[in-house]
Amino acid sequence: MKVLSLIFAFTLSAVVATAGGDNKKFIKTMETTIAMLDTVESPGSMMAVSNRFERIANAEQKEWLPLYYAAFCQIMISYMESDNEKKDEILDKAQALVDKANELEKKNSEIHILMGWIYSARIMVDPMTRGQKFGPQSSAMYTAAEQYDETNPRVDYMRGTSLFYTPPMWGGGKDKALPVLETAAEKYKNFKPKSSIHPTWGEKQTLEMIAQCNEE
Amino acid sequence: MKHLIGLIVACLILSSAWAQTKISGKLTDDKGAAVPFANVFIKDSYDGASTAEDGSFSFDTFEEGDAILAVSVIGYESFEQAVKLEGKPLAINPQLKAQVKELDMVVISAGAFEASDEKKAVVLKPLDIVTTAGAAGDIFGAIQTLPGTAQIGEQEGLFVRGGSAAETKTIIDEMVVQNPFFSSVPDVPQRGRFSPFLFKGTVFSTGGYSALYGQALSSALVLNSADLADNTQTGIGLTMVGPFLSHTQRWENTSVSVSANYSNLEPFFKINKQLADWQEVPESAGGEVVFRQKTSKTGIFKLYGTYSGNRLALNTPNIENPDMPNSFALENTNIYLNSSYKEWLNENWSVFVGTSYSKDLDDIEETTFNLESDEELTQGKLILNRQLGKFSALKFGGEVHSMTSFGQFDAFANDLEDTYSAGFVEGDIFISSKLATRVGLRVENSELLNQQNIAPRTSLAYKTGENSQMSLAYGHFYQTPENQFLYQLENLDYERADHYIINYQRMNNDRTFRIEFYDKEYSGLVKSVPDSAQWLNNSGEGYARGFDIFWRDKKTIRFVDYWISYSYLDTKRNYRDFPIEAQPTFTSTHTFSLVYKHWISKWRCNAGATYTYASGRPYFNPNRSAEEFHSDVTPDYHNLSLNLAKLTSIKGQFTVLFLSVSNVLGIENTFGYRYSADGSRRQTVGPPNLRTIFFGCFISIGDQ
Repeated sequence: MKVLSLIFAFTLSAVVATAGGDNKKFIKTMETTIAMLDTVESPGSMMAVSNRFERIANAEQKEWLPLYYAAFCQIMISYMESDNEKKDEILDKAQALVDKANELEKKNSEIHILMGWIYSARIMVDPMTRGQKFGPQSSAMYTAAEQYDETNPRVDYMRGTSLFYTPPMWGGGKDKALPVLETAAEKYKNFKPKSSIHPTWGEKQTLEMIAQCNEE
Repeated sequence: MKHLIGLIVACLILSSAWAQTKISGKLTDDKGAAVPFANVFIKDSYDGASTAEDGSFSFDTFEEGDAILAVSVIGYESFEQAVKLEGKPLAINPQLKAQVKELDMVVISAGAFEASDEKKAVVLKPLDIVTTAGAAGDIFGAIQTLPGTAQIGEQEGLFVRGGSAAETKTIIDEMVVQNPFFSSVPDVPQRGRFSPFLFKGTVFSTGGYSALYGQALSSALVLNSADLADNTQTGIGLTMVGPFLSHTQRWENTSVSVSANYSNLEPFFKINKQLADWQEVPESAGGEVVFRQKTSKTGIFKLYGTYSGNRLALNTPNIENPDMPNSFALENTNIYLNSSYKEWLNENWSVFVGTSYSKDLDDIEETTFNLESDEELTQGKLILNRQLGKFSALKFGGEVHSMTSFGQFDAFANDLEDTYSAGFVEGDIFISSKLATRVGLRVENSELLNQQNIAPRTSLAYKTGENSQMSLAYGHFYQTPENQFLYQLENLDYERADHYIINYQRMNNDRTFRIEFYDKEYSGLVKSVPDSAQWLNNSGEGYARGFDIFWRDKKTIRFVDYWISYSYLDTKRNYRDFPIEAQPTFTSTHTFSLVYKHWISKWRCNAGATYTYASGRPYFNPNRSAEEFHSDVTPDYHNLSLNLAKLTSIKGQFTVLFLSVSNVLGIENTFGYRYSADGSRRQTVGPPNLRTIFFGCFISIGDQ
């Protein structure tokens, strides 16, 4: 009897361990994959990281974060691609991933930042015909992202970045970007991600750009 | 006891050791080439790997039993294979099928030039229309730089491959537009009524067009209006001729735009010397409403309405009595409404329903007569589309037009009524990615003529290489005679043209070359037969043959985009009041145009030039015998126009400043001559002004 109950307890704990372990496994795998983002150098290795996130997304159909990170990777890859046609294909994929994430997690500030970012990445393909269309669409997404979470530093980081790279005659420039980036830096200081796998990126780049603004 | 637990633990360890399966292999495409960076994984698990540069992959999985190995990568069809995971290493070498992209498919393109943002394999972008020098922002002006069109400077319209302006129909959202241009003024060409910004796509067909459209012997200009507006914004335009205001509001699934404009050519005439003798400066006012409602993920309802009124007066020379010029005064009111609804019923079926209404009122006072005309056209159209696989589709449907035309010519009143109906069916069948055919049939009935016609249309396209293709097209095209003849005699039949087209096209990334040979055979044209009891019949005929060449290059010179068009045309007709078969006055044998655009990024400036040349056109000289009809030819036509558009921002708002100079060289082109009745005097028909300067700005205020 004792033996039986022991076996029973053992199997039960094993089951519980695997059940709890599932979530642990998810978080653990996410953590290690997110950490890989810092070591990525080539489009190929970024692709490998993106593929990992996609595999996780595939297994964890209810989680928006793997989709979010996979889309993030795709956007990064699009900037490394020089062929315009392929760039668009990659951004189509990023859009599909982000749309799926948006279905799972409505009105999410971080997801809307990626949505806005995809629009600005698309402008690069054909600035003449796309600038006027996608520019405002991109900023509309950042406005939404701000509405959903005022404390999100990545809203100001993205806005500051686009001002940083816009020529002064177009209403951009370093002097315009600086105060926005400083707001971003301030928000980064106080920003606490909801968990170890929620987005935290952008602080280092913000500080780098602030330094560049102050150089002159 | 301990023994037992140890056994269980050992079993568990053993079983997990047993469950680890190594999967490795090499991923290739259907041509045997390695596919790198693909995602190879066990479905519903975290286990998987990315392929290396050489397509190889290898990973371990702890999953066991029946599982699915999946592969996904951009540009290829996804791949799945059932596997049994039993701890034994698996070697799998998946082969992926390259996805058939729209870009790689053969395109049914004979006769057509397409401008679109959405499709990739197109000759023009909508923005190209706006930035073409000499086009002055007019859709029709830009289309005139494409091969197949004649340079006609004394009247509006698209004269395509030996066809008259009446042989080209403008179609907005599947429905024919009755009055696409402002009302005609003697020897002063008029602009189109529609702004190029309304449309997301344009197909200009110089022949062999789809069975979905009819009533055009030569050409169809198919304009597809834009969907939901992208953003909420306010636009302010300020040009030499007046202001333009618009506001667009965008909600999630709805957008509404309202705009108003007023124009008065007084300042324009002050700066640009007029050869025409204006008595009342042209003045116009109008408004526009554009409503869009997304009814579902795939459905959209569109409503477009525009109203405009304009008036002007000028004196035209009187050849019979030079001291007493003719006067011409015009007042016009035009209303146009167009609504449509398009929806996918399921994966395979889509439906389009459209209605349109237009009313055009002209009040013309000339020296010797008054003319009041009132034209109305109501249309309904239904198109059902059945998708056959990814690319092939079958379309069918019908349309009904109810037209009334009333003309009061002094004491004489004329009126015409016609109910025209048509049914059509057309299949776009892709036999492979290289070979496609379009087969269509159109059946028409006109109550006024009391005649029916059956018009078959077909084309075939074959991809000869990665970037090149050949196309053939053939079809019958019918058109109801123009109202001016029907007023005289209703007992007429359709005019007809048969098109034969062969086309070769090479297109890669930023270079396009096209050559197209055509033969158009006219029959049943309205012909005057003064000696018979019936003074008109359908015995006229003719032909138009030639070839068009188009070359566009955006690549060779950095920041430069240019295109060259050349058309050769051999055409003769014996119709209307022609005594013999002769070349019509609206045709040139050689037409050439060069459009050049230069993007100067330093100044955010787009500079452009357009040069057009056309060889002389025949004209009627009453001093010639009937055998020598149209044997005289005008001097050649030359025109050079420049434009400059600067993109900038005023108080952070997107602003375009533009300046254009038409006919920079101030050449006084001759379009023809008008003779006195006795043939003793003649006058030149020329442009209403020579060099003209036009400038303005457009500011768009959006939420930034």
